[in-house]
Amino acid sequence: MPDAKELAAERSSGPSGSGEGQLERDSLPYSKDTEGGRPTRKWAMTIDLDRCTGCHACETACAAENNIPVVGEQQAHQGRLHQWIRVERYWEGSYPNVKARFMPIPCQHCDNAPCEPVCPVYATYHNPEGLNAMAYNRCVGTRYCGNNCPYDVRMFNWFEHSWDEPLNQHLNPDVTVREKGVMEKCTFCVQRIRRAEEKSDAEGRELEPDEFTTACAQACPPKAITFGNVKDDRWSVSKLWNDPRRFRLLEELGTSPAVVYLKTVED
Amino acid sequence: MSRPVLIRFILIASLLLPASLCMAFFWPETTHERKTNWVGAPGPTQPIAFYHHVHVNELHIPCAYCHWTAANSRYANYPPVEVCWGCHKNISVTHPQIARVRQYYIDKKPIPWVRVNQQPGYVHFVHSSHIGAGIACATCHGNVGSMYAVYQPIEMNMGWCISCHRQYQKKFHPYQASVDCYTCHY
Repeated sequence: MPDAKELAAERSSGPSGSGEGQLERDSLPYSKDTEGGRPTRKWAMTIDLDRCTGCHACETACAAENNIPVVGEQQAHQGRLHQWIRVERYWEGSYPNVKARFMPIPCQHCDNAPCEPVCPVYATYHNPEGLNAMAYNRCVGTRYCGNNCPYDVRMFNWFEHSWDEPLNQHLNPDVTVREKGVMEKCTFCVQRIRRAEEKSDAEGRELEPDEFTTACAQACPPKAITFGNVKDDRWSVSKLWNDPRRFRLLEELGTSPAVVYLKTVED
Repeated sequence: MSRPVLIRFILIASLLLPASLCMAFFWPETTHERKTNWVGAPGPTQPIAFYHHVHVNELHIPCAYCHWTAANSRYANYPPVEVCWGCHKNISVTHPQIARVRQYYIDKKPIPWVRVNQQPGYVHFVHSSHIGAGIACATCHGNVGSMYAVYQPIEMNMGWCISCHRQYQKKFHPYQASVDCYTCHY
């Protein structure tokens, strides 16, 4: 987009940007030295599969935090289940020696996201903080992004959802209630990021390491999910980011996800 | 066009036309339409004829005396009846409009003010950041002191937000105002 380029040029000429390293910065979608004068951030998540017990608490917390509708059994059967994070279950071995393995799968927030270039209206794009952003009010519902996502984490709103009487009071006011005809997906709890930024801005300081976390990470009983800024070494996620057990989901596709899984340790 | 095809076409058209008219009237409104639209004078009729003109222009009461959560919250509040009552239990108690305020206070009921400034559900505007950056209330809300019934002086649409975010980004705040979609839309 020409607008974004102009803007980047404006920014680099300002007091916050430096002239050198311009080419390198522009070649990567998120890794500008500064975004609006702020230190660089890249939001990322690590999921320790050794710790995950498959309790589905992350799904529940996510549904409560992000106003995710309950579509019911019939719609779920038709593949229209709404879950921004899902726990996949795999059985290993045969009857006497069966092992269950679990894998929570949120949106991977890929750096080379396959969903982004196919959107005809730029409703989904990569923001400077490394988030795969989704602007609901821009979405026209072509569902190309959902079809192009190798992780199958994008949900389409086929109907206008409603919440029964006491439940409509639990909706989170910081999150849009998505209307019919738009795509939605995990946002890495961007509303919490913004809340934390507002708080730190008001107090005139930078974000503290591990100051906040996503709803799924907060609810995880064995602390399998860690969320944070990997560009800052003080965050606990950046200590786990280069763990020797690390792997990324479908890494051979070259999507470069921002979610790192840590392998189960075998006895 | 042959005669049976023409008849079929007329039949279908005569069915579709009333159907489309029905849809236009009874189709549920979307979030894009759920927005108050009080752009330009006059504003809506409020349950009590509250005069900002008297309170702001003549008495010079700061905005934050009544709308205090704007400074440290996303939302600016309506004052509860107790705030009105705090002054008006002593001041101009014989005024007929103040008698109505007293009635709300005695009944322990909130005054059902009509909301004038509202963004659609997919916009998350933050008052505290803007107040913290030193933006005056009047920049967006206009000269409320000169309004008898409060209205929106400008239609608050995204182009208007962005123009300010680009223009004044270095003037008020050490950080540039963000123009990322995820600043407001999430």
